[in-house]
Amino acid sequence: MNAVTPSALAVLADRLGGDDIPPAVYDSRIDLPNERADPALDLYVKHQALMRCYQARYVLLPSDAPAGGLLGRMQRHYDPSRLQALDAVRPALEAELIAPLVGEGTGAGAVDYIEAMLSEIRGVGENPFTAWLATTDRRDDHYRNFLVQSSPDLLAEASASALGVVGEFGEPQSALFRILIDEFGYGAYPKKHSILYRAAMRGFGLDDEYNGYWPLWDTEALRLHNVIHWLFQNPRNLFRQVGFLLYAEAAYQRSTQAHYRHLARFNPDVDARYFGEHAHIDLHHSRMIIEDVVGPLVAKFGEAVGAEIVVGAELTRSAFAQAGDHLLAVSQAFEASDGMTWGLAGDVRNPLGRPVTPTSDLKGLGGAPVQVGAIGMLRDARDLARFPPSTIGRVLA
Amino acid sequence: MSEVWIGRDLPPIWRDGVEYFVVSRGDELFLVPNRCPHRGGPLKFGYLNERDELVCPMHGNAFPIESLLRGPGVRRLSEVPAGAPDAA
Repeated sequence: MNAVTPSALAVLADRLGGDDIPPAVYDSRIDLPNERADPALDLYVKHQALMRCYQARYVLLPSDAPAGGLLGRMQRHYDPSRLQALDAVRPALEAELIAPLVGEGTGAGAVDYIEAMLSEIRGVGENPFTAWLATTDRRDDHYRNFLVQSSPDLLAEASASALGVVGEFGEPQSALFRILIDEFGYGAYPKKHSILYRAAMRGFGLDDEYNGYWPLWDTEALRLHNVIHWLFQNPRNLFRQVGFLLYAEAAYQRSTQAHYRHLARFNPDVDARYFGEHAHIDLHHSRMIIEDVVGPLVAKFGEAVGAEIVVGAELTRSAFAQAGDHLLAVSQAFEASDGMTWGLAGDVRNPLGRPVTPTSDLKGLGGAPVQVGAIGMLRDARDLARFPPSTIGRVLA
Repeated sequence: MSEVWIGRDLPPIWRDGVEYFVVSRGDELFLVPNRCPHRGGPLKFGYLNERDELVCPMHGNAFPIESLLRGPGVRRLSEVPAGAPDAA
């Protein structure tokens, strides 16, 4: 496997002219890998590149016709040479970024694993993020960041798992498709989960266009996105995909319930149907995965299949936990900073600004302000040094 | 053995813009809206469980046949169609 070279990433960076900013959905830039001495930044840029590999296979249309017409823009975005460049770097990126995260499983049989997993999820207390939000007056700013960091997946929800239902693999395929139907609003566009998520974003004054906030997505948000998408790229991972759904449906039911209650308490005017819908339908999905997918697959193909399902579930658990812990840690670090302004100032895509991490040469920035996600702006970039290592700040031009 | 039979293999039956399916119970016939009260799933493709509940194929919600037949929009077919062999 060839390593990912800076020149390969530089090709993907594909800097655009000042007046040629594409519609958000076709904005496929990554940051130029110009700080090779900073491993955290290097990791960030590679995750950006891998995200672009996966995004490139989505069917995307902007909400409004772009200036100059759609077709040219669309054809440039899906140009075969560009797709080939992404395909060329993808295997090495996956080998470096994702493969090391895949564990060996727990050794438990699928049935025992499910029992323990459900018991653990049910036994978890209050959601740490929403519990902490209740203690701060700036909860809306942190919630805005949560919505933005979750938007790589949720504004195109189930695009990864949609790849897992093509082909021909028996009754479990139909059960997975029934779940997918719900994700896509059972045929009713206003009920599509991504559309419900858009409404929640608008409720916090955010732009709801897919990919609109990509410069603010931090390394952990991209890692979670990429883990999920990696699982669904190759049918070899079928049983791990089932493991992803097994854990995700059960855990998401609980976390969305917490978010639904949070919004009902603190933001009753915000459209919370996205979270209410998941808190309800994921009860069904969790049962469907267990009874209609895991059970029949293990019964037919044996515990070796069950072990793969557990591997996928554990990978998902780890990725969710890492992203969730990071989100909370960044919020708390921001809140503890000395000087800041809250919220977003202007267009985050133009000008793009420059990403920095806590291990970048922050002193060399001469006290420049730095935007941290959608939370707000640190008045002095040096404050970023106290943040979790995979935090991304952006020095706006 | 249940005395209930679901006409899942019959063609769609439309009346006033609503799709129905046939349920036979004993010597009675009903037209039941082919729409699960939960999320609109196609009830007629469900199955009858051992408690005489019709289980929706979408999310597995189970509805007792008795309450389903008392539900809104259900039509009982009580007359033999004119021109049928047994018509008076």
